[in-house]
Amino acid sequence: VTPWLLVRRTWAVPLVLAAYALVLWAVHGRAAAVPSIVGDSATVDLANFAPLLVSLSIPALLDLGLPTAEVTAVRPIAWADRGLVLATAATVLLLGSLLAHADHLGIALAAGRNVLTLLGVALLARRWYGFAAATGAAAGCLFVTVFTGLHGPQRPYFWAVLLQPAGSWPSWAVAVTALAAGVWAVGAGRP
Amino acid sequence: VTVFPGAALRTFRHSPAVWLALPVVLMGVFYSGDVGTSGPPALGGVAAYSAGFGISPLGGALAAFAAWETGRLRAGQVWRQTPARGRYRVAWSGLLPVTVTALAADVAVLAAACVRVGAVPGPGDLPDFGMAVATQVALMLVGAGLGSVLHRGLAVPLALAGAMLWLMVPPSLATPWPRYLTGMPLDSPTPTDVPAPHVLLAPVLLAAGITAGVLLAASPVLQPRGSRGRRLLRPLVAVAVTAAAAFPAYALVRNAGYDTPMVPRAGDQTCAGEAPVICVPSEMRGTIPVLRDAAKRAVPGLVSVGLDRPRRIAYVSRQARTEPGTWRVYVQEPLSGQQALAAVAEAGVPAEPRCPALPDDMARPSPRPLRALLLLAAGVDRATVRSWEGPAALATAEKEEAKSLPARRRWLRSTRAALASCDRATLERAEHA
Repeated sequence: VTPWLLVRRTWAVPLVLAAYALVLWAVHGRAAAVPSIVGDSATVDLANFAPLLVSLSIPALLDLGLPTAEVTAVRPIAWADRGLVLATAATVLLLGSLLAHADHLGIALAAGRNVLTLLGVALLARRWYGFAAATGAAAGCLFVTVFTGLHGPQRPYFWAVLLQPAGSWPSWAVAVTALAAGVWAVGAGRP
Repeated sequence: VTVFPGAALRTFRHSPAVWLALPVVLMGVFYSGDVGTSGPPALGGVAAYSAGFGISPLGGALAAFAAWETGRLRAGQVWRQTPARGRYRVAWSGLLPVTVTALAADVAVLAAACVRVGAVPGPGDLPDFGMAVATQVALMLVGAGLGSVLHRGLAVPLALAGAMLWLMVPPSLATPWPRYLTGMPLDSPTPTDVPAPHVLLAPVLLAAGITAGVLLAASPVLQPRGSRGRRLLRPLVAVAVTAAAAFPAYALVRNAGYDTPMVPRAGDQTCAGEAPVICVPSEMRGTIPVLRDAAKRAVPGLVSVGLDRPRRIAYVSRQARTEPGTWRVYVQEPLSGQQALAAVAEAGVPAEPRCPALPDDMARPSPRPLRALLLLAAGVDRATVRSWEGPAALATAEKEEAKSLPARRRWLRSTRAALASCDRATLERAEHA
């Protein structure tokens, strides 16, 4: 396991999560007007952008590998990668719950849910089109939702799952499905 | 520099410019339609402002596009090798599709804004648009810089998110000055006022600093030769040059409030008639006959209640210096006879001054009774004055109307002084009165 830990630079994961929590705490309660395509004056909570930190970093770390060695390895590299993704997702949700309860930061839980969604989307895109497409899909998904998903100040359309409040169960269902698909996609297709 | 036709043209074949250009242009045209629709008169400055507003959000897409294009050079290990052409020349070839896309978008958005507003900006109207273009160039270069040092998978979303957050976050902060550094035009010029030059200069200065920083960091002189010290030199130089521009830029806007600081517009005014002369911005010369008729009807009555006879009635900026005997009016097109009458009457009501030394909750005298008296004197019927200013203000005005001329003059003088005052004692006296 040690070579896997080193090659994937897993030491960076706690740093990324710490930065994510710090950003969430720093921007809570702050909203910004966005150049909406469909609404007149759309504002969005800045915490909605924090999930990009995690959903860009994890695919980047998974991409650090030794492909030839990994293809012939007997060790379960794909399962280790899946474990990394699941552990990160669990920590993000835990952080969200803690911030939501300790600091009344309800958006932190919604941000955690969005990490699951965007990470799942990124990993799915990575499976077929590679790392550049993975991060592009996550960022594109977020920005398209922000630009087109609001029909008023902080009033999202039903389909804009990334902008729904923490209590929206359909959004959680989408997030869990996306993450499950993303976890499946990690290592899928390897010989 | 690469000649446009030839080898450089081939870069378009491998570039997303072919499918990205149209959405970028359409997005810019769409956003420019969000502002600058306040109605006539058609001002070139409003068209330039509207176009500048429209092209600002494109900075994110163009920065990401630039990161993608220079990421291609990085992936091809062009920077690690020793190209026969100069490094800037190689970078320029790589960025040519981005530049052409940006240029096409800017020209299309400006043309669409001109058509929609109905006016073509003159050279004096272009700073708003120029500021947005300068910021766009800086964002593109930051994107190009990111694409040169990071994997495309990280550089593209970082460039997109960074540029969009740069444009979106500062205007949402409680501190007002950061919003003037983003390079996004915030307030439209009016027939009498335009954004202050220092506010437009600040983001251009910052953009120039960022541009110089990225270009210097990419300079062959600063290329690493292996040692960690040499490698650190590039980001250090980029940050130092950017900071050197950021400090004077901050100094230019640090005192700006939530509304964009404006200065009187240096445009020609059209004046006509005598005793009084009527002056309006040239684009509004159509309002002169209506204003002249209103002045003929209203001035004798206004003089009879105690105002001095005007030599000039002018629609000019509140900040513009005027000759003694000038009545400052505010008019909008289209202007009806009744509106012109009210505009001339309200010239006798002083504008509320800005009093930073006074507390926000300091009570100020109401201008309604004075306005009601002047409207009655100008010949506006009582029912209209009641509906505009309220029954209480009309009652006070009628009481003053019934007084002798010297007593009415005294009231007029003290009320106007109180309305224009920032002196606490004067305001408290007026409140008790």
